[in-house]
Amino acid sequence: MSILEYNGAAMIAMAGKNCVGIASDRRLGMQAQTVSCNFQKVFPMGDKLHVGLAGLASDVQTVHQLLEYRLNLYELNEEREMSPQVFSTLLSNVLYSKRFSPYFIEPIVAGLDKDNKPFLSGSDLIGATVIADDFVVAGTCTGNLHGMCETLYKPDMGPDQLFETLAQSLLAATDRDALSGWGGIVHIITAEGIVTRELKGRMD
Amino acid sequence: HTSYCITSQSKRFYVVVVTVLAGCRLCLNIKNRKQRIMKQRQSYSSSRIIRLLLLSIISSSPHLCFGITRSNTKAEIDLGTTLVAIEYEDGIIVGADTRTSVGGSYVSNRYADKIYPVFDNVVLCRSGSAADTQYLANQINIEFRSRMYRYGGVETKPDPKQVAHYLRYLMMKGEMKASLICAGYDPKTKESSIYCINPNGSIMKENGGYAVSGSGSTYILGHLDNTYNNTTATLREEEDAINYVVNTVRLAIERDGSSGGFVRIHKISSTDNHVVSAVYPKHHQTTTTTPKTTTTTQRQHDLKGFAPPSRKH
Repeated sequence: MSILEYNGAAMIAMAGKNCVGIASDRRLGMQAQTVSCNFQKVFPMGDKLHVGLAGLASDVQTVHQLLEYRLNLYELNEEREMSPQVFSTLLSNVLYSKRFSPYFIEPIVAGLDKDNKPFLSGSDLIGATVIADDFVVAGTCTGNLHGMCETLYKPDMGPDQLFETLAQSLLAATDRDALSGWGGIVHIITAEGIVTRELKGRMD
Repeated sequence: HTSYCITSQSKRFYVVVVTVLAGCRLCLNIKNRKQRIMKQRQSYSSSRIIRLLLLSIISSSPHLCFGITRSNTKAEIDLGTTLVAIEYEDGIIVGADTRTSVGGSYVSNRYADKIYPVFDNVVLCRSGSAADTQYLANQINIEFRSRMYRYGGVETKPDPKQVAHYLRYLMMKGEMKASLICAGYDPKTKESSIYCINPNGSIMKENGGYAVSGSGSTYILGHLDNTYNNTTATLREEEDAINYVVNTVRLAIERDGSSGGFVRIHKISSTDNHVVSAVYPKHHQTTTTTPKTTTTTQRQHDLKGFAPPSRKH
């Protein structure tokens, strides 16, 4: 089992019409053993930006703290909010700066820019970014997640339909993975605010 | 140690193969191959030597190359499992989860049946490699059916002791990656018994009244140690015993990544044949699903009318 699969994770970010959603599972494990069912992997970085970090739990928490530090410093210096595109580039640079002893995480960024247009990007552990307009996935069951998203995704979904799509994709994909699941959490980011819902799924 | 020196005609390098006693035959193979090829060609390159070497290793001793070829072979299907067998008043209740995984992570079967009935009064609970255990179960079936036809007549049923010892005989070579529980009721002596057979072929009769096996068993052994003796007095009713087993397997499913799905229950008793049921454990509620809203403009935006997740279990 590779180091990226040690703790287990499943994460989707999907774009709708003037809204984005990001969903993750809640499991923290040590290979086969489950240690916790409410481990946070999606972190808010401002009002319209969320970053989801899949991978080694220690690096998830460290990179989250690092990004928060960099973001706060930027906002203090520049006196403006960080846009999602800039954040994604910042994340890529942070990861590449550790090119030869990397952080073992696979991050995804979901946010709305200042025109409330959705922005999604995903990255590998050393910072190669891909910007998508439909969905990005990360974690131990990316095959399952890609399949479910490809099937259920439609362009220009509203917030409630986006929530339904994210929830069903995540639950169905994690049902087929031994290392992720044990509940879920979905954040829908719209111009008006963020709605967070917890999913009740199979606890196995 | 024995060392052979195989040289390359290109004179760029020497391949020196140092082998321990067990692998001497390897080098002889390589030398033979090399001589055969040298008759055909004048010289051969470094990459060819390495390929020769690997080919000889792989063909002559498959279990020595476990490290080399492991990544090339298909991922083995593994029954990461929780198996529980307990004795109660009337007989035995056996419970198993239903998850089969490939490569440690992908769940290939969510509803696998890991309990194999041998005739009416004995069951075999399988954990370990799916292929090995299916083979063993099939061999048991073949052997005891042929014994029945040859020696006993149609009414003869095997007792669990015979089945367990034959399993041990099959597994003694140590090639099988399987750990089994064999449980059953013997109509002649009117006793139920549970046997554990370990991967290398040792057999243990569980006199304590319960047995566990599989990757999820570590999470529930303490629980069983603590609660079984306190509850045997109340395990007279079949339903109580079934609930006890379902609860135990559920605890393992919630903690073990390789166990999941339903809980399959088999009952073996003096009064009737197997009663087989598949039960989904009802677990305690997780955290509530009330939406929490945070706004930037101090206005509550209520997303009414969305459909709740429609997964019904």
